[in-house]
Formats: sequence, structure tokens, C-alpha cells
Amino acid sequence: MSRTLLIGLDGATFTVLDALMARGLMPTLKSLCDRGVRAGLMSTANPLTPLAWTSLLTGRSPGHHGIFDFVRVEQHADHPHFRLATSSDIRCPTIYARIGEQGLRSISLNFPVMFPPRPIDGFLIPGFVPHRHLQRAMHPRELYDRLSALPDLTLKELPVDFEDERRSVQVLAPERHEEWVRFHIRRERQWFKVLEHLMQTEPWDLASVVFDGVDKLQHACWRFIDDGLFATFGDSDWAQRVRDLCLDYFRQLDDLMARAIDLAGPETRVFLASDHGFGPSDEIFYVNSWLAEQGFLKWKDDAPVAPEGYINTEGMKAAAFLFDWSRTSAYTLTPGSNGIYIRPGKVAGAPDLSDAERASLRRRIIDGLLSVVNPKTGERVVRKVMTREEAFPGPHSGLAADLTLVLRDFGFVSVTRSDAILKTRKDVAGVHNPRGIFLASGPGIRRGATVGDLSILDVTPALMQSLGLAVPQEFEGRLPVEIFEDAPAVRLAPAAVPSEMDRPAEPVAAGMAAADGMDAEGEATVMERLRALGYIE
Amino acid sequence: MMESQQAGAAAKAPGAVLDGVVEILEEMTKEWDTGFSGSIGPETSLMNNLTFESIDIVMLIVAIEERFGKKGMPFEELLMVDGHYVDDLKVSQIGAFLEKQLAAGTTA
Repeated sequence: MSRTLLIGLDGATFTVLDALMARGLMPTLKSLCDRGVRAGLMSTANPLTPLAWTSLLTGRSPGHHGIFDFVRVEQHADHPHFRLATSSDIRCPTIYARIGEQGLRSISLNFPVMFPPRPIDGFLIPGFVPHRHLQRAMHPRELYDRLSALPDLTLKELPVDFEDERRSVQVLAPERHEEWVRFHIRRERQWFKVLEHLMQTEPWDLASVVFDGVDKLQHACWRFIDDGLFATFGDSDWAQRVRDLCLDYFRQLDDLMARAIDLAGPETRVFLASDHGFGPSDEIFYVNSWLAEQGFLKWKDDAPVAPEGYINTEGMKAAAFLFDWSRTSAYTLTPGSNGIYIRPGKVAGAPDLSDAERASLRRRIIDGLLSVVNPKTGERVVRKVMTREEAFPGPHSGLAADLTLVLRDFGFVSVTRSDAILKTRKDVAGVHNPRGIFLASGPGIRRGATVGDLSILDVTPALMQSLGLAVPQEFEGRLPVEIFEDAPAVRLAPAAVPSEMDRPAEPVAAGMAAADGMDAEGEATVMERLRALGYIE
Repeated sequence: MMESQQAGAAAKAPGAVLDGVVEILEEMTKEWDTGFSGSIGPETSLMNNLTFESIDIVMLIVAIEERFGKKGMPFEELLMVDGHYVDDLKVSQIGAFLEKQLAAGTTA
């Protein structure tokens, strides 16, 4: 058994990190590579933060843990409803719960979908919680007062501003770039201070933290980070300042990792993992406009065309507000899900589709999507379309979108209305990519090795092994024995007794649908307000 | 789960739902700089007295679902009047809405 430190770098990719290491900007990361094992890390079928981190923390795929997006979409006969996905939607125990049952203590900082906090043996602060709600979000509650008393910690700086985050994912105004990067440098320092305090003052066995500025910077500033792209436009003082700040972010992140590793001590095993990778995107596919063009969706007459470069309905009515539900049979609600839902009936109020009708409708949409090409390049826009049974097998797959798209550049679809189904981005943006990073270092870990790509589901068994615990039989990943100096025998824990959590989620009762007499437009307005969706990427 | 079911059963006692909502709001807002110096009660306004914004409503719904052990309640009913988003919401309105929903049963 070895104490274990898990550092999550949200959206990290070796494409960026290798270049930074080569320039000498990330010596700690370089040292970890030299002293440990590195590998690519393949994300969930849709490489999106909430489902991917939840998979890493549960050892289960989304069809089993039940998280598919930042929101939970509930199908109703009239039109869909959606709400925030929360920890109570996770249908499998987390690693914190599992190791807690065996007497080991955890520190968990800034992981998504952990709100409201489930009691663990240790300390937990979820990610994506607004500042005014942080106190209720902490486990134990007293942690808030304790942290508030620390002289060099500013709790207000822990969360992201949701509106800012939404904007950054699509188009960040030029004058906001520098402050955006500085903000995330400050945030990472604050999360580190919390980690430092708990590691120094509390007994722990598994300490884990997500630094998510990597994702936030790469979305908005990819062209400043990528050497080749920057060379094509970066001759202004402003561009150079933004780039310097981005590089400084990574330099400071590396320093925080060094301090965390130093605090953990030489006997601690260190794991670095990302929830997904990142890459460039130069085009936007307007999936709802394509669905409309094909006759599957009807926009309301007053649905506006989105501003250039927008993938989300920022500053406009929510996507659901823009559809004529009486004439819409398939739709996409959130860019990050890349998911198309098919209505239970063909249109509002119609009887549910039979299995054969649903399969036929899916087939028509899939075939259509796979035939979309970029007229300028002749390239197919949609690389792959997965049914939910293919993408998310498991007892909860019915909660996922019917179809999940993988775009040519792995980008997010746009849910907005457009006068063309495909547009070239004005500036290249950073988008999620399925191949993230894995690094491990410490006692018993091979030194200076690169191994084949792992699955994000393999990280959880590796953490259990590092902690000296058997691997639960229901874990879907494998223990990556190749990262260890002496390949350990795989010890499987006794099969778990099926619990309440394992049951498929109950369908929403008919009586819980929208109020009689409430028009879809009005309700969609509420959903737009309720979204507060900084939660949608 | 069991705690939620107990909470749901306890909420059926007269006045218990309103008391539960008040407790949630007191807990939620105790550290907020709202400028509201009174006690939270049926006539307290979420937006005008407690400075609620949309994200706070989202978090309140999560807290209510947790407290009363029921998910998927049509909060749109509570937040819409004649197809328009309400500019204000009183604690008593939340209490009445929950009384109706919890009486309909179905624990998530």
C-alpha cells in the first residue's frame, strides 16, 4: 500500500505539454516522465468533463454511472425538460466511498458532479459550485469556516464564473483574454492552497485535485498556445502578451504540481490524468440547422440566427425555446453532449414510436449525417455516429441521447440556428479530443517508460492497486500491470451486492410533466433561466 | 435514500414543508450579503429580499430535491405565470407548490 496523489489536469494533451516540456517550461512534468510511466489516455465515448471524470472516479462507464452531460435530460410527451446533473444521479459508488469502507481517507477537490457532497471519510469540495453555495458544498461543512480563516486563501476565487465560462467556450472577446488567463492562474493557486492545507494538517491516503484551467485556456486560447498557429498571426503586442500569459499559466501549474508532489513525499505514488485531450477546430457544424434542413426539426419563425462563431445560445433564448415542438422529431440541446435526441412520439402528443419506427428514424439520421461533406475540402464532417446502446451500454443508457456524433475534428456541434449548416471558424479554437494524458511515478512504478494507450477506466484499478486494495469485480477497466516494475497479480474484490444504486433510473411519472396550460415557449424561458448553465460547455 | 424517504414522510405534517423550505433558505443564505435583516418567513421574497439569481434558483431546487427526497418535480409550475417567468417568488409559494407535489407521492 502506498499513499496516492492524483492530479487531474482537465483537458490536458501531450500535444501541448510535450512542446512546453521541450521548452523547459514544465520541469516537474518532464521529471515525472523521466522517473515514471506515460501513456495516452482514451476518454469516454463522448469526451466530456462530467461523464469522463465520473468514469475515472467510479471505474464505470456512463451507461452504468448514469452521467451523460452537465444536465440531465428528461423526455416528456410534450417536450423535454432538463435539470442540473448532480451527485445523486451517479448510480455507482465513487472510489472515495469504496476506499472509505476499508478505512482509507480521501481528499477530493474540484471534481464535477460531486454536488451535493456525499459524505466520505475525508474532505470533499465539488467543482462547478458558485461561491455563494460553497459552504453547503463542502464536506464536512466545518471545512468552510476552517478554510475561511486561512490568511492566504480567497475562497471566492475557487469557482469559475459560469457566464464567463460559457462565453469562453465559444467566442472570448479579445480584450478579455489576458484577464481570463490571469483569473485561472489565481484559481489554480487557490485550489492548491486548499490541497496544501489538507495534506499538511490531515491524515490522508488518497489526495486528489482537478486543475481545470488547462481546459479553460485551451478552449479560448488554443491558437496562442499552439506554436505553429501562433506563428501565423502572433505579431502584435497583444497576441504576444496573451501567449506569454498562457505559457506563464503552464509554468505556474508545473510549480504547483512540484509543491504537491513534494508535500506528498517520496513514498507516495503520483498519478496524473486528464478527462480528455484537446485539439484544434476550424469549422462549426450546426446540427439543429441540418436537422431542420432534413425535415426532422422546425425552428420557430422568430428563432434568430446566431452570431458568427457561436455554438451555444449565449445571450439568446435556449435552444429548446427556438423549436416548434409540434413539428420537431429530433433535436440537440447542448453542444457538449454532441447528442441528438429523438422524441418519444414523432411530434408532441403523438403516440410513442415503436422500436422499429425509432430504429428507422435513427438510421435515416445516421445515414444523412455521414453523407455531410465540407464543400470546400470534400471531407466528411461527421466521422462517426453512435447509437446510445453502442456509445453507452449499461442499465442507464436510456438516459443518454439517442445518437452521439463524433465530428471530423472531434469538436462540439453548434445547437444554434444558422443560415448554413457548416461554417469555417474565424479563428481556430480548441476543442475536446478523446486522447488525454496519463502519467504515474513513485515506488514500484516503472521509470522512463512509455506504454500503449490506456482507457480512463483503467485509472481506477491502478489507484486501487496503488492503495493496496483489491479491484472491484464490476470495474470495467483493467489493471494496467505494464506500468508497474513487477507486474502485480490482479486481486479482485468479492462481487458487490447489487444495491439501490444499480437499478435503472425510474422514468418520470406522467403526472410530473409540465403544468397544464403552460405553453412550451414559456417553459423554455424558465429552462433558459434555470439553466444558469454555465454548466453546459 | 432512506433518509430522503423519512424526510418526505415527515414533510406531510402540517407546516413541515414550509418549515423545511425556510430551513433550507436560512442555511443557504446565512453567509450571503443580502442586506436583509428580517427573519425568513412565508412572505420573504427570494429575489427582492434574498438577492436570488438564476443560478441560486438552480441550487435551491437541488437542495429541495435532496431535502424532500423527490426529483423531477415540475418547478416550471412554480416559476411561470401565464407563460412568463415570475419576477418574484415568495417562500409561501414554494411551500404551497411542494405541498401539492409531495402529496402526489412518488419518491425518486
